[in-house]
Amino acid sequence: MTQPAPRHAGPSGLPLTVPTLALFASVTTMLAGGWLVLAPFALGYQPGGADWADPTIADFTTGLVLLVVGAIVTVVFAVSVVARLRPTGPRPAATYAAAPTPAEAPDDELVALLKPLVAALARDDAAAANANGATSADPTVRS
Amino acid sequence: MRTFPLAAYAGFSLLISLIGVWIVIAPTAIGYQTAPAPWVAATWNDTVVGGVLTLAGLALLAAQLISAVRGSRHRAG
Repeated sequence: MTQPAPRHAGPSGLPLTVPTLALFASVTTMLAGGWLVLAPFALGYQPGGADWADPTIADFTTGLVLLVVGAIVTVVFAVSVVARLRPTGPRPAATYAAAPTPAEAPDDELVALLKPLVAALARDDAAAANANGATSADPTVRS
Repeated sequence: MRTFPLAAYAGFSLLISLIGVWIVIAPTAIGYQTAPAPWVAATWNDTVVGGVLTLAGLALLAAQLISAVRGSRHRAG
């Protein structure tokens, strides 16, 4: 018996929550790394032209590590999310809409409508023939 | 296309948290922030960015573990 797909599963049946959260986190990591690289210059604790101070070296190095790790992990996790969004297994056979059945021909309808009437007339005819005596020489009279 | 085990995602979350902790303690560890002195701009920046990364990493780790536990319960029936 097959298990139903989890509530937050993608078309592949694998859960999407964990890789999606990780993808957001990796993008956030990348942004934080970028900010740390720029912060010494943006906040002014590293004057231009001077030798890099300890805070600048620390922030720049840490930020660069975050930026590189975040970028690599973002690509890797994005691939994983895309893989989970893709349906697995054989593709279902294409289904085509059934061709519309042609409407019943009016002739058939007419025949169906008149059939009981014709049968009744035949019965009356036969009854009349029996009543008149079955010895009629008229060949057009059915027995 | 490949998918990754939970350990890979959890490891990444833990790595973010650890880097965040390092950024928070870096001013004191490296020595550009001494205890009695008022905080310099670099210390403020590192504390905020490191704190956010630490909390984000831990929250991500918790969310991943909760999601994994729920998924295993779902599969168990």
